[in-house]
Amino acid sequence: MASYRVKSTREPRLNSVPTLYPNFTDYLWRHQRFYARYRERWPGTLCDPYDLLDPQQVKYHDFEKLVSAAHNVLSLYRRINQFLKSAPYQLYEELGIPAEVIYLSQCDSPVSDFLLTRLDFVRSDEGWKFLECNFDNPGLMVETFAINEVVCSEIGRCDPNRAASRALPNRLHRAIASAARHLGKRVDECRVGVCSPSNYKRDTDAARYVVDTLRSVRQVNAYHVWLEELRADEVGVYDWEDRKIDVLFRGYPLREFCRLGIPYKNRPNITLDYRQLHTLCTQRKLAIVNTAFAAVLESKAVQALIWLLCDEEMYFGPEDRQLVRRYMPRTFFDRPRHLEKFVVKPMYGCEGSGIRVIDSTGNVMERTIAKHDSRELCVYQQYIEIPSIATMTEFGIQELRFVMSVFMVNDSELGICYRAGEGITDASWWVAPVYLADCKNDLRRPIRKTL
Amino acid sequence: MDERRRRIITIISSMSALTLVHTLRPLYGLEPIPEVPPVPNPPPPTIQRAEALILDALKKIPEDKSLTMEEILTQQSALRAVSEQDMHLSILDLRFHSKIEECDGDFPPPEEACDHNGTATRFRLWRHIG
Repeated sequence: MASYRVKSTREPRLNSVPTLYPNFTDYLWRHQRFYARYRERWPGTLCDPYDLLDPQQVKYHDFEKLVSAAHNVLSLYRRINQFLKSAPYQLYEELGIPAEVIYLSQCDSPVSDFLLTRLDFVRSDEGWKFLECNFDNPGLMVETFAINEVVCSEIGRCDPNRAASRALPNRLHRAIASAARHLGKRVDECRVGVCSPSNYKRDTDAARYVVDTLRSVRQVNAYHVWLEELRADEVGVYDWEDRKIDVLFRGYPLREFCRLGIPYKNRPNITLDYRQLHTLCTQRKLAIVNTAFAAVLESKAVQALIWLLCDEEMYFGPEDRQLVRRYMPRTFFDRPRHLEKFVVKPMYGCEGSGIRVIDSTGNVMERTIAKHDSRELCVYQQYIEIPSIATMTEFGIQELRFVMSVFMVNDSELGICYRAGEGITDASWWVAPVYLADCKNDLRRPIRKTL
Repeated sequence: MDERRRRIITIISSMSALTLVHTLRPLYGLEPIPEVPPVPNPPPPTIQRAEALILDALKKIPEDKSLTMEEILTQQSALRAVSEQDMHLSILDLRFHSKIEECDGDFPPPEEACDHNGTATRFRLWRHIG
Protein backbone atom coordinates (compact mmCIF):
# COMPACT_ATOMS: atom_id res chain seq x y z
CA MET A 1 0.00 0.00 0.00
CA ALA A 2 1.17 3.47 -0.71
CA SER A 3 1.38 4.77 2.81
CA TYR A 4 4.64 6.57 2.94
CA ARG A 5 4.56 8.48 6.16
CA VAL A 6 4.08 6.65 9.41
CA LYS A 7 2.29 8.86 11.85
CA SER A 8 4.89 9.96 14.35
CA THR A 9 4.10 9.92 18.02
CA ARG A 10 6.81 12.48 18.62
CA GLU A 11 5.86 16.10 19.10
CA PRO A 12 7.80 19.07 17.74
CA ARG A 13 10.29 20.37 20.24
CA LEU A 14 8.63 23.75 20.31
CA ASN A 15 9.98 24.81 23.68
CA SER A 16 13.58 23.81 23.37
CA VAL A 17 14.60 24.33 19.75
CA PRO A 18 13.76 27.94 18.78
CA THR A 19 16.80 29.30 20.53
CA LEU A 20 18.99 27.00 18.46
CA TYR A 21 17.16 27.49 15.16
CA PRO A 22 15.87 31.02 14.68
CA ASN A 23 13.48 30.03 11.86
CA PHE A 24 12.04 27.05 13.66
CA THR A 25 8.90 28.73 15.04
CA ASP A 26 8.20 30.22 11.64
CA TYR A 27 8.59 26.74 10.11
CA LEU A 28 6.04 25.27 12.52
CA TRP A 29 3.55 28.09 11.96
CA ARG A 30 3.81 27.94 8.20
CA HIS A 31 3.19 24.21 8.21
CA GLN A 32 0.32 24.50 10.65
CA ARG A 33 -1.34 27.16 8.48
CA PHE A 34 -0.94 25.03 5.34
CA TYR A 35 -2.33 22.01 7.17
CA ALA A 36 -5.34 23.95 8.46
CA ARG A 37 -6.18 25.05 4.91
CA TYR A 38 -5.78 21.71 3.11
CA ARG A 39 -6.24 18.86 5.58
CA GLU A 40 -9.91 18.50 4.60
CA ARG A 41 -9.00 18.11 0.96
CA TRP A 42 -6.36 15.40 1.47
CA PRO A 43 -7.04 13.91 4.91
CA GLY A 44 -5.10 10.71 4.20
CA THR A 45 -2.09 12.45 2.76
CA LEU A 46 -1.77 15.36 5.16
CA CYS A 47 -2.07 13.41 8.39
CA ASP A 48 -0.38 16.07 10.47
CA PRO A 49 1.00 19.57 9.83
CA TYR A 50 4.50 18.21 9.33
CA ASP A 51 3.95 15.46 6.74
CA LEU A 52 5.53 17.72 4.14
CA LEU A 53 8.92 19.35 4.31
CA ASP A 54 9.57 22.82 2.95
CA PRO A 55 9.60 22.85 -0.86
CA GLN A 56 12.98 22.11 -2.41
CA GLN A 57 14.36 23.78 -5.49
CA VAL A 58 15.35 21.95 -8.66
CA LYS A 59 17.35 23.63 -11.41
CA TYR A 60 15.93 23.44 -14.89
CA HIS A 61 19.18 21.92 -16.15
CA ASP A 62 18.86 19.11 -13.57
CA PHE A 63 15.21 18.64 -14.42
CA GLU A 64 16.06 18.15 -18.09
CA LYS A 65 18.72 15.58 -17.18
CA LEU A 66 16.18 13.80 -15.05
CA VAL A 67 13.71 13.75 -17.96
CA SER A 68 16.37 12.12 -20.10
CA ALA A 69 17.39 9.61 -17.39
CA ALA A 70 13.80 8.60 -16.69
CA HIS A 71 13.01 8.25 -20.37
CA ASN A 72 16.05 6.04 -20.92
CA VAL A 73 15.33 3.81 -17.92
CA LEU A 74 11.73 3.45 -19.06
CA SER A 75 12.92 2.45 -22.54
CA LEU A 76 14.92 -0.39 -20.94
CA TYR A 77 11.83 -1.51 -19.06
CA ARG A 78 9.81 -1.43 -22.27
CA ARG A 79 12.35 -3.76 -23.85
CA ILE A 80 12.39 -6.14 -20.89
CA ASN A 81 8.58 -6.10 -20.91
CA GLN A 82 8.67 -7.39 -24.48
CA PHE A 83 11.25 -10.02 -23.49
CA LEU A 84 9.28 -11.26 -20.48
CA LYS A 85 6.11 -11.63 -22.55
CA SER A 86 7.93 -14.21 -24.67
CA ALA A 87 9.52 -15.96 -21.69
CA PRO A 88 8.49 -19.41 -20.38
CA TYR A 89 6.75 -19.98 -17.07
CA GLN A 90 9.95 -21.34 -15.45
CA LEU A 91 11.65 -17.98 -15.84
CA TYR A 92 8.86 -16.21 -13.94
CA GLU A 93 9.10 -18.86 -11.24
CA GLU A 94 12.86 -18.50 -11.05
CA LEU A 95 12.47 -14.74 -10.78
CA GLY A 96 10.31 -15.30 -7.71
CA ILE A 97 7.07 -13.93 -9.19
CA PRO A 98 4.13 -15.34 -7.17
CA ALA A 99 1.94 -17.89 -8.97
CA GLU A 100 -1.19 -15.72 -8.81
CA VAL A 101 0.64 -12.76 -10.35
CA ILE A 102 2.00 -14.98 -13.16
CA TYR A 103 -1.50 -16.35 -13.77
CA LEU A 104 -3.21 -12.95 -13.91
CA SER A 105 -0.41 -11.36 -15.92
CA GLN A 106 -1.25 -13.72 -18.81
CA CYS A 107 -4.54 -11.84 -19.38
CA ASP A 108 -4.53 -9.87 -22.59
CA SER A 109 -4.81 -6.32 -21.35
CA PRO A 110 -6.09 -3.38 -23.39
CA VAL A 111 -4.05 -0.93 -21.34
CA SER A 112 -0.34 -0.15 -21.39
CA ASP A 113 1.68 -1.82 -18.65
CA PHE A 114 3.34 1.54 -18.10
CA LEU A 115 0.20 3.55 -17.44
CA LEU A 116 1.24 4.33 -13.88
CA THR A 117 4.99 4.53 -13.60
CA ARG A 118 7.05 5.99 -10.81
CA LEU A 119 10.81 5.69 -10.87
CA ASP A 120 13.10 6.55 -7.96
CA PHE A 121 16.42 8.24 -8.65
CA VAL A 122 19.28 9.55 -6.55
CA ARG A 123 21.81 12.17 -7.47
CA SER A 124 25.36 10.80 -7.68
CA ASP A 125 28.74 12.05 -8.93
CA GLU A 126 27.95 10.36 -12.24
CA GLY A 127 24.53 12.03 -12.60
CA TRP A 128 21.11 10.61 -11.77
CA LYS A 129 21.13 6.94 -10.75
CA PHE A 130 18.01 4.82 -10.87
CA LEU A 131 17.17 3.01 -7.63
CA GLU A 132 13.92 1.21 -8.24
CA CYS A 133 10.59 1.29 -10.00
CA ASN A 134 6.96 1.29 -8.93
CA PHE A 135 4.56 0.15 -11.64
CA ASP A 136 1.92 -1.77 -9.71
CA ASN A 137 0.47 0.82 -7.35
CA PRO A 138 2.95 3.64 -7.50
CA GLY A 139 1.54 6.07 -4.94
CA LEU A 140 2.63 9.71 -4.51
CA MET A 141 0.19 10.85 -7.20
CA VAL A 142 -1.55 13.33 -4.90
CA GLU A 143 1.73 14.68 -3.52
CA THR A 144 3.33 14.98 -6.96
CA PHE A 145 0.48 16.62 -8.80
CA ALA A 146 -2.21 18.11 -6.56
CA ILE A 147 -0.18 19.16 -3.53
CA ASN A 148 2.87 20.28 -5.47
CA GLU A 149 0.67 22.56 -7.57
CA VAL A 150 -0.86 24.16 -4.47
CA VAL A 151 2.52 24.59 -2.76
CA CYS A 152 4.13 26.17 -5.83
CA SER A 153 1.16 28.48 -6.25
CA GLU A 154 1.35 29.57 -2.60
CA ILE A 155 5.04 30.40 -2.79
CA GLY A 156 4.71 31.90 -6.28
CA ARG A 157 7.25 29.58 -7.89
CA CYS A 158 7.16 27.57 -11.10
CA ASP A 159 5.69 24.07 -10.77
CA PRO A 160 7.85 21.58 -12.73
CA ASN A 161 4.94 19.13 -12.73
CA ARG A 162 2.44 21.42 -14.34
CA ALA A 163 2.73 20.01 -17.86
CA ALA A 164 2.43 16.45 -16.57
CA SER A 165 -0.51 17.41 -14.41
CA ARG A 166 -2.28 18.77 -17.50
CA ALA A 167 -1.45 15.64 -19.52
CA LEU A 168 -2.52 13.15 -16.85
CA PRO A 169 -6.32 13.33 -17.51
CA ASN A 170 -5.68 12.54 -21.15
CA ARG A 171 -3.39 9.63 -20.25
CA LEU A 172 -5.94 8.11 -17.89
CA HIS A 173 -8.84 8.74 -20.26
CA ARG A 174 -7.05 6.93 -23.06
CA ALA A 175 -6.60 3.93 -20.78
CA ILE A 176 -10.30 3.90 -19.94
CA ALA A 177 -11.25 4.38 -23.60
CA SER A 178 -9.05 1.44 -24.50
CA ALA A 179 -10.61 -0.70 -21.80
CA ALA A 180 -14.09 0.29 -23.03
CA ARG A 181 -13.25 -0.74 -26.58
CA HIS A 182 -11.87 -4.03 -25.28
CA LEU A 183 -15.20 -4.68 -23.56
CA GLY A 184 -17.11 -3.69 -26.69
CA LYS A 185 -18.68 -0.65 -25.07
CA ARG A 186 -18.63 3.10 -25.49
CA VAL A 187 -16.72 5.08 -22.86
CA ASP A 188 -19.91 6.72 -21.57
CA GLU A 189 -21.51 3.29 -21.12
CA CYS A 190 -18.70 2.09 -18.87
CA ARG A 191 -18.88 2.25 -15.13
CA VAL A 192 -15.39 2.86 -13.78
CA GLY A 193 -14.91 1.91 -10.13
CA VAL A 194 -11.72 3.33 -8.65
CA CYS A 195 -11.11 1.07 -5.74
CA SER A 196 -9.05 1.49 -2.57
CA PRO A 197 -8.99 -0.23 0.81
CA SER A 198 -10.75 1.71 3.58
CA ASN A 199 -7.92 1.26 6.08
CA TYR A 200 -5.32 3.01 3.90
CA LYS A 201 -6.32 6.64 3.84
CA ARG A 202 -3.46 7.70 1.62
CA ASP A 203 -4.62 5.24 -1.05
CA THR A 204 -8.12 6.66 -0.69
CA ASP A 205 -6.84 10.17 -1.41
CA ALA A 206 -5.05 8.81 -4.49
CA ALA A 207 -8.20 6.96 -5.65
CA ARG A 208 -10.30 10.10 -5.24
CA TYR A 209 -7.70 12.08 -7.14
CA VAL A 210 -7.99 9.57 -10.01
CA VAL A 211 -11.79 9.89 -9.91
CA ASP A 212 -11.59 13.71 -10.06
CA THR A 213 -9.01 13.53 -12.84
CA LEU A 214 -11.16 11.16 -14.90
CA ARG A 215 -14.27 13.23 -14.30
CA SER A 216 -12.48 16.31 -15.60
CA VAL A 217 -12.50 14.63 -19.00
CA ARG A 218 -15.76 14.22 -20.85
CA GLN A 219 -17.87 11.07 -20.78
CA VAL A 220 -16.19 9.07 -18.03
CA ASN A 221 -18.51 7.69 -15.38
CA ALA A 222 -15.93 7.19 -12.62
CA TYR A 223 -16.52 6.93 -8.91
CA HIS A 224 -14.73 5.76 -5.80
CA VAL A 225 -15.52 2.39 -4.26
CA TRP A 226 -14.07 0.75 -1.17
CA LEU A 227 -12.35 -2.56 -1.72
CA GLU A 228 -14.44 -4.07 1.09
CA GLU A 229 -17.67 -3.10 -0.69
CA LEU A 230 -16.92 -5.04 -3.85
CA ARG A 231 -18.97 -8.14 -4.56
CA ALA A 232 -18.71 -10.62 -7.40
CA ASP A 233 -20.44 -13.43 -9.24
CA GLU A 234 -19.65 -15.40 -12.39
CA VAL A 235 -20.79 -12.47 -14.55
CA GLY A 236 -18.87 -9.62 -13.01
CA VAL A 237 -17.86 -7.40 -10.11
CA TYR A 238 -20.38 -5.10 -8.41
CA ASP A 239 -20.40 -2.04 -6.17
CA TRP A 240 -22.35 -1.45 -2.93
CA GLU A 241 -25.57 -0.78 -4.86
CA ASP A 242 -25.21 -3.94 -6.91
CA ARG A 243 -24.26 -1.98 -10.01
CA LYS A 244 -21.92 -3.86 -12.34
CA ILE A 245 -18.45 -2.36 -12.63
CA ASP A 246 -16.99 -2.52 -16.13
CA VAL A 247 -13.54 -1.15 -15.43
CA LEU A 248 -11.95 -1.77 -12.07
CA PHE A 249 -9.23 0.80 -11.46
CA ARG A 250 -7.27 -0.72 -8.62
CA GLY A 251 -5.52 1.53 -6.14
CA TYR A 252 -4.08 -1.49 -4.43
CA PRO A 253 -1.17 -3.90 -5.01
CA LEU A 254 -2.17 -6.90 -7.12
CA ARG A 255 -0.81 -9.43 -4.63
CA GLU A 256 -2.98 -8.02 -1.86
CA PHE A 257 -5.90 -8.01 -4.25
CA CYS A 258 -5.34 -11.72 -4.88
CA ARG A 259 -4.81 -12.48 -1.22
CA LEU A 260 -8.09 -10.92 -0.10
CA GLY A 261 -10.25 -11.88 -3.10
CA ILE A 262 -13.73 -10.44 -3.68
CA PRO A 263 -16.66 -11.98 -1.74
CA TYR A 264 -19.47 -13.51 -3.77
CA LYS A 265 -22.77 -11.60 -3.81
CA ASN A 266 -24.92 -14.32 -2.35
CA ARG A 267 -22.25 -16.25 -0.47
CA PRO A 268 -20.03 -13.66 1.25
CA ASN A 269 -17.96 -16.34 2.97
CA ILE A 270 -16.67 -17.49 -0.44
CA THR A 271 -14.41 -15.22 -2.45
CA LEU A 272 -13.66 -14.78 -6.11
CA ASP A 273 -10.04 -15.81 -6.43
CA TYR A 274 -7.41 -14.88 -9.00
CA ARG A 275 -8.37 -17.71 -11.38
CA GLN A 276 -11.98 -16.53 -11.51
CA LEU A 277 -10.82 -12.93 -11.83
CA HIS A 278 -8.70 -14.07 -14.78
CA THR A 279 -11.77 -15.72 -16.33
CA LEU A 280 -13.82 -12.52 -16.00
CA CYS A 281 -11.04 -10.60 -17.72
CA THR A 282 -10.50 -13.09 -20.55
CA GLN A 283 -14.27 -13.27 -21.17
CA ARG A 284 -14.21 -9.46 -21.39
CA LYS A 285 -16.73 -9.05 -18.61
CA LEU A 286 -14.30 -6.90 -16.67
CA ALA A 287 -11.20 -4.85 -17.44
CA ILE A 288 -8.64 -4.15 -14.75
CA VAL A 289 -6.51 -1.02 -14.67
CA ASN A 290 -3.60 -1.01 -13.73
CA THR A 291 -2.56 -4.14 -15.64
CA ALA A 292 -1.52 -7.30 -13.84
CA PHE A 293 1.75 -7.33 -15.77
CA ALA A 294 2.72 -4.12 -13.99
CA ALA A 295 3.11 -6.28 -10.87
CA VAL A 296 5.59 -8.52 -12.72
CA LEU A 297 7.64 -5.55 -13.85
CA GLU A 298 7.75 -4.13 -10.34
CA SER A 299 9.67 -7.14 -9.00
CA LYS A 300 13.25 -6.26 -8.06
CA ALA A 301 14.25 -9.45 -9.89
CA VAL A 302 13.60 -7.64 -13.16
CA GLN A 303 16.47 -5.27 -12.36
CA ALA A 304 18.74 -8.27 -11.79
CA LEU A 305 17.47 -9.82 -15.04
CA ILE A 306 18.29 -6.64 -16.97
CA TRP A 307 21.86 -6.76 -15.58
CA LEU A 308 22.20 -10.47 -16.33
CA LEU A 309 21.16 -9.94 -19.97
CA CYS A 310 23.53 -6.98 -20.16
CA ASP A 311 26.49 -8.96 -18.75
CA GLU A 312 25.81 -11.93 -21.01
CA GLU A 313 25.37 -9.63 -24.03
CA MET A 314 21.99 -11.19 -24.72
CA TYR A 315 18.90 -9.42 -26.02
CA PHE A 316 20.04 -5.86 -25.29
CA GLY A 317 22.03 -4.07 -27.99
CA PRO A 318 25.20 -2.02 -27.33
CA GLU A 319 23.25 1.25 -26.82
CA ASP A 320 20.92 -0.38 -24.33
CA ARG A 321 23.83 -1.93 -22.45
CA GLN A 322 25.40 1.51 -22.23
CA LEU A 323 22.17 2.85 -20.70
CA VAL A 324 22.07 -0.01 -18.19
CA ARG A 325 25.64 0.73 -17.06
CA ARG A 326 25.01 4.45 -16.92
CA TYR A 327 21.79 4.53 -14.95
CA MET A 328 21.26 1.26 -13.10
CA PRO A 329 23.24 0.12 -10.07
CA ARG A 330 24.55 -3.44 -10.51
CA THR A 331 21.98 -5.94 -9.28
CA PHE A 332 22.59 -9.67 -8.77
CA PHE A 333 20.50 -12.78 -8.17
CA ASP A 334 23.16 -14.30 -5.94
CA ARG A 335 25.11 -12.75 -3.13
CA PRO A 336 28.11 -10.90 -4.60
CA ARG A 337 31.54 -11.70 -3.12
CA HIS A 338 33.41 -8.81 -4.71
CA LEU A 339 31.40 -5.85 -3.38
CA GLU A 340 32.43 -4.16 -0.13
CA LYS A 341 28.93 -2.98 0.55
CA PHE A 342 25.63 -4.03 -0.98
CA VAL A 343 21.89 -3.81 -0.36
CA VAL A 344 19.68 -6.88 0.08
CA LYS A 345 16.16 -6.21 -1.24
CA PRO A 346 13.17 -8.56 -1.19
CA MET A 347 11.48 -9.01 -4.60
CA TYR A 348 8.32 -7.24 -3.57
CA GLY A 349 9.47 -5.19 -0.62
CA CYS A 350 7.60 -1.93 -0.22
CA GLU A 351 8.18 1.05 2.05
CA GLY A 352 11.66 -0.30 2.74
CA SER A 353 10.45 -3.53 4.33
CA GLY A 354 13.11 -6.23 4.66
CA ILE A 355 15.92 -4.10 3.20
CA ARG A 356 19.42 -4.56 4.69
CA VAL A 357 22.75 -2.95 3.92
CA ILE A 358 25.54 -5.53 4.31
CA ASP A 359 29.32 -5.28 4.18
CA SER A 360 31.70 -7.81 2.61
CA THR A 361 32.06 -9.74 5.88
CA GLY A 362 28.31 -10.18 6.15
CA ASN A 363 27.70 -7.62 8.89
CA VAL A 364 24.39 -5.81 8.70
CA MET A 365 25.24 -2.11 8.63
CA GLU A 366 21.70 -0.76 8.23
CA ARG A 367 18.26 -2.31 8.24
CA THR A 368 14.66 -1.14 8.29
CA ILE A 369 12.34 -1.76 11.18
CA ALA A 370 9.52 -2.89 8.87
CA LYS A 371 9.53 -6.69 8.69
CA HIS A 372 9.05 -8.64 5.51
CA ASP A 373 8.24 -12.23 4.63
CA SER A 374 11.66 -13.86 5.11
CA ARG A 375 10.76 -16.66 2.65
CA GLU A 376 10.60 -14.18 -0.22
CA LEU A 377 13.58 -14.31 -2.57
CA CYS A 378 15.95 -11.34 -2.55
CA VAL A 379 18.22 -9.54 -4.98
CA TYR A 380 21.58 -7.97 -4.13
CA GLN A 381 22.22 -4.45 -5.31
CA GLN A 382 25.36 -2.35 -5.40
CA TYR A 383 25.19 0.25 -2.63
CA ILE A 384 24.62 3.79 -3.85
CA GLU A 385 25.32 6.57 -1.39
CA ILE A 386 22.22 8.74 -1.09
CA PRO A 387 23.17 12.41 -0.70
CA SER A 388 22.26 14.07 2.62
CA ILE A 389 21.31 17.69 3.18
CA ALA A 390 20.77 19.57 6.44
CA THR A 391 17.03 20.23 6.37
CA MET A 392 14.56 21.85 8.72
CA THR A 393 11.95 19.46 10.11
CA GLU A 394 9.48 19.61 12.98
CA PHE A 395 12.29 18.20 15.14
CA GLY A 396 14.77 20.91 14.19
CA ILE A 397 17.50 20.73 11.57
CA GLN A 398 18.31 17.16 10.55
CA GLU A 399 20.72 15.59 8.09
CA LEU A 400 18.29 13.93 5.66
CA ARG A 401 18.84 11.71 2.64
CA PHE A 402 16.94 12.77 -0.48
CA VAL A 403 15.48 10.48 -3.13
CA MET A 404 13.78 11.88 -6.23
CA SER A 405 10.55 10.22 -7.30
CA VAL A 406 9.60 10.62 -10.94
CA PHE A 407 6.04 10.01 -12.11
CA MET A 408 6.08 9.43 -15.86
CA VAL A 409 3.22 10.74 -17.99
CA ASN A 410 4.71 11.51 -21.40
CA ASP A 411 8.13 12.11 -22.97
CA SER A 412 8.72 15.58 -21.59
CA GLU A 413 5.89 15.51 -19.12
CA LEU A 414 6.77 14.00 -15.81
CA GLY A 415 5.99 14.85 -12.25
CA ILE A 416 8.66 14.92 -9.59
CA CYS A 417 8.82 15.16 -5.84
CA TYR A 418 11.43 14.46 -3.22
CA ARG A 419 11.23 12.03 -0.37
CA ALA A 420 13.59 12.61 2.51
CA GLY A 421 14.50 10.88 5.71
CA GLU A 422 17.12 9.06 7.70
CA GLY A 423 18.46 5.56 7.03
CA ILE A 424 16.75 3.41 4.41
CA THR A 425 13.77 4.81 2.51
CA ASP A 426 10.67 3.73 4.37
CA ALA A 427 7.25 4.83 5.53
CA SER A 428 8.67 7.32 8.00
CA TRP A 429 10.20 9.50 5.30
CA TRP A 430 8.83 12.95 4.55
CA VAL A 431 7.63 14.18 1.18
CA ALA A 432 9.11 17.44 -0.08
CA PRO A 433 7.37 19.38 -2.86
CA VAL A 434 9.62 20.83 -5.57
CA TYR A 435 9.77 24.05 -7.56
CA LEU A 436 11.90 25.15 -10.47
CA ALA A 437 14.62 27.46 -9.19
CA ASP A 438 15.48 29.14 -12.44
CA CYS A 439 12.15 29.43 -14.16
CA LYS A 440 12.16 32.84 -15.79
CA ASN A 441 8.45 33.18 -16.36
CA ASP A 442 5.51 33.74 -14.15
CA LEU A 443 3.81 30.63 -12.82
CA ARG A 444 0.45 31.51 -14.34
CA ARG A 445 1.85 31.81 -17.83
CA PRO A 446 0.68 28.91 -20.00
CA ILE A 447 3.12 26.30 -21.21
CA ARG A 448 4.43 27.47 -24.54
CA LYS A 449 5.97 25.77 -27.49
CA THR A 450 9.44 26.87 -28.43
CA LEU A 451 11.71 25.83 -31.21
CA MET B 1 27.72 -19.79 -5.82
CA ASP B 2 25.79 -17.94 -8.55
CA GLU B 3 23.40 -20.86 -8.70
CA ARG B 4 20.31 -18.84 -9.40
CA ARG B 5 22.07 -16.91 -12.11
CA ARG B 6 23.12 -20.16 -13.80
CA ARG B 7 19.58 -21.57 -13.66
CA ILE B 8 18.20 -18.38 -15.21
CA ILE B 9 20.81 -18.42 -17.98
CA THR B 10 19.84 -22.02 -18.75
CA ILE B 11 16.17 -21.05 -19.09
CA ILE B 12 16.98 -18.03 -21.25
CA SER B 13 19.28 -20.06 -23.46
CA SER B 14 16.42 -22.43 -24.20
CA MET B 15 14.22 -19.57 -25.39
CA SER B 16 13.65 -19.05 -29.06
CA ALA B 17 16.53 -17.33 -30.82
CA LEU B 18 14.06 -14.87 -32.31
CA THR B 19 13.12 -13.57 -28.88
CA LEU B 20 16.72 -12.96 -27.97
CA VAL B 21 17.61 -11.03 -31.09
CA HIS B 22 17.85 -7.35 -30.36
CA THR B 23 15.10 -5.86 -32.45
CA LEU B 24 15.67 -2.61 -34.28
CA ARG B 25 12.03 -2.19 -35.14
CA PRO B 26 10.76 0.76 -33.10
CA LEU B 27 7.62 -0.11 -31.18
CA TYR B 28 5.41 2.41 -29.45
CA GLY B 29 7.54 4.61 -27.26
CA LEU B 30 10.46 2.22 -27.44
CA GLU B 31 12.89 4.54 -29.06
CA PRO B 32 15.12 6.20 -26.49
CA ILE B 33 16.39 9.69 -27.25
CA PRO B 34 19.93 9.07 -28.55
CA GLU B 35 22.91 9.98 -26.40
CA VAL B 36 24.87 11.43 -29.30
CA PRO B 37 23.63 13.40 -32.33
CA PRO B 38 22.16 10.84 -34.75
CA VAL B 39 23.32 12.90 -37.77
CA PRO B 40 26.29 15.23 -38.31
CA ASN B 41 25.87 18.96 -37.82
CA PRO B 42 24.73 20.40 -40.18
CA PRO B 43 22.61 17.45 -41.28
CA PRO B 44 22.71 16.27 -44.91
CA PRO B 45 20.35 18.27 -47.18
CA THR B 46 17.78 15.45 -47.47
CA ILE B 47 17.45 15.25 -43.70
CA GLN B 48 17.36 19.04 -43.32
CA ARG B 49 14.52 19.15 -45.80
CA ALA B 50 12.66 16.30 -44.10
CA GLU B 51 13.06 17.94 -40.69
CA ALA B 52 11.74 21.26 -42.03
CA LEU B 53 8.69 19.53 -43.50
CA ILE B 54 7.96 17.61 -40.29
CA LEU B 55 8.26 20.77 -38.19
CA ASP B 56 6.09 22.65 -40.64
CA ALA B 57 3.34 20.05 -40.32
CA LEU B 58 3.49 20.11 -36.51
CA LYS B 59 3.54 23.93 -36.35
CA LYS B 60 0.26 24.07 -38.25
CA ILE B 61 -1.70 22.16 -35.63
CA PRO B 62 -2.96 23.61 -32.31
CA GLU B 63 -0.73 23.28 -29.24
CA ASP B 64 -2.87 20.57 -27.68
CA LYS B 65 -2.85 18.33 -30.76
CA SER B 66 -0.39 15.79 -32.10
CA LEU B 67 0.10 13.83 -35.31
CA THR B 68 1.05 10.29 -36.21
CA MET B 69 3.75 9.73 -38.82
CA GLU B 70 1.05 8.74 -41.29
CA GLU B 71 -0.79 12.02 -40.69
CA ILE B 72 2.43 13.97 -41.15
CA LEU B 73 3.01 12.17 -44.45
CA THR B 74 -0.54 13.00 -45.56
CA GLN B 75 0.01 16.68 -44.85
CA GLN B 76 3.47 16.83 -46.40
CA SER B 77 3.32 14.63 -49.45
CA ALA B 78 6.90 15.66 -50.37
CA LEU B 79 8.04 13.52 -47.44
CA ARG B 80 6.97 10.37 -49.28
CA ALA B 81 10.05 10.77 -51.48
CA VAL B 82 12.32 10.56 -48.42
CA SER B 83 13.74 7.11 -47.67
CA GLU B 84 12.56 5.28 -44.54
CA GLN B 85 16.02 5.47 -43.00
CA ASP B 86 16.32 9.23 -43.55
CA MET B 87 12.86 9.72 -42.07
CA HIS B 88 13.90 7.71 -39.04
CA LEU B 89 17.08 9.79 -38.64
CA SER B 90 15.16 13.04 -39.08
CA ILE B 91 12.76 12.11 -36.28
CA LEU B 92 15.63 11.06 -34.02
CA ASP B 93 17.54 14.27 -34.75
CA LEU B 94 14.51 16.44 -34.03
CA ARG B 95 13.95 14.57 -30.77
CA PHE B 96 17.64 14.79 -29.88
CA HIS B 97 17.50 18.59 -30.27
CA SER B 98 14.26 18.75 -28.24
CA LYS B 99 12.33 20.17 -31.16
CA ILE B 100 9.66 17.48 -31.19
CA GLU B 101 8.61 14.78 -28.78
CA GLU B 102 6.70 11.55 -28.68
CA CYS B 103 3.46 11.92 -26.83
CA ASP B 104 0.46 10.04 -25.74
CA GLY B 105 -2.20 11.83 -27.74
CA ASP B 106 -4.46 14.82 -27.91
CA PHE B 107 -6.49 16.58 -25.32
CA PRO B 108 -9.40 16.19 -25.13
CA PRO B 109 -8.85 12.69 -26.47
CA PRO B 110 -10.69 11.41 -29.53
CA GLU B 111 -13.41 8.85 -28.96
CA GLU B 112 -11.41 6.10 -30.62
CA ALA B 113 -8.31 6.75 -28.56
CA CYS B 114 -6.37 3.63 -27.76
CA ASP B 115 -3.63 3.09 -25.20
CA HIS B 116 -2.53 -0.27 -26.50
CA ASN B 117 1.17 -0.86 -26.92
CA GLY B 118 0.63 -1.21 -30.64
CA THR B 119 -0.78 2.29 -31.11
CA ALA B 120 1.05 4.41 -33.67
CA THR B 121 3.51 6.80 -32.08
CA ARG B 122 2.33 10.40 -32.08
CA PHE B 123 4.50 13.48 -32.29
CA ARG B 124 4.14 17.12 -31.39
CA LEU B 125 6.41 20.10 -30.92
CA TRP B 126 8.47 19.87 -27.75
CA ARG B 127 6.86 21.71 -24.85
CA HIS B 128 9.00 23.76 -22.57
CA ILE B 129 8.03 24.67 -19.07
CA GLY B 130 7.99 28.38 -18.35
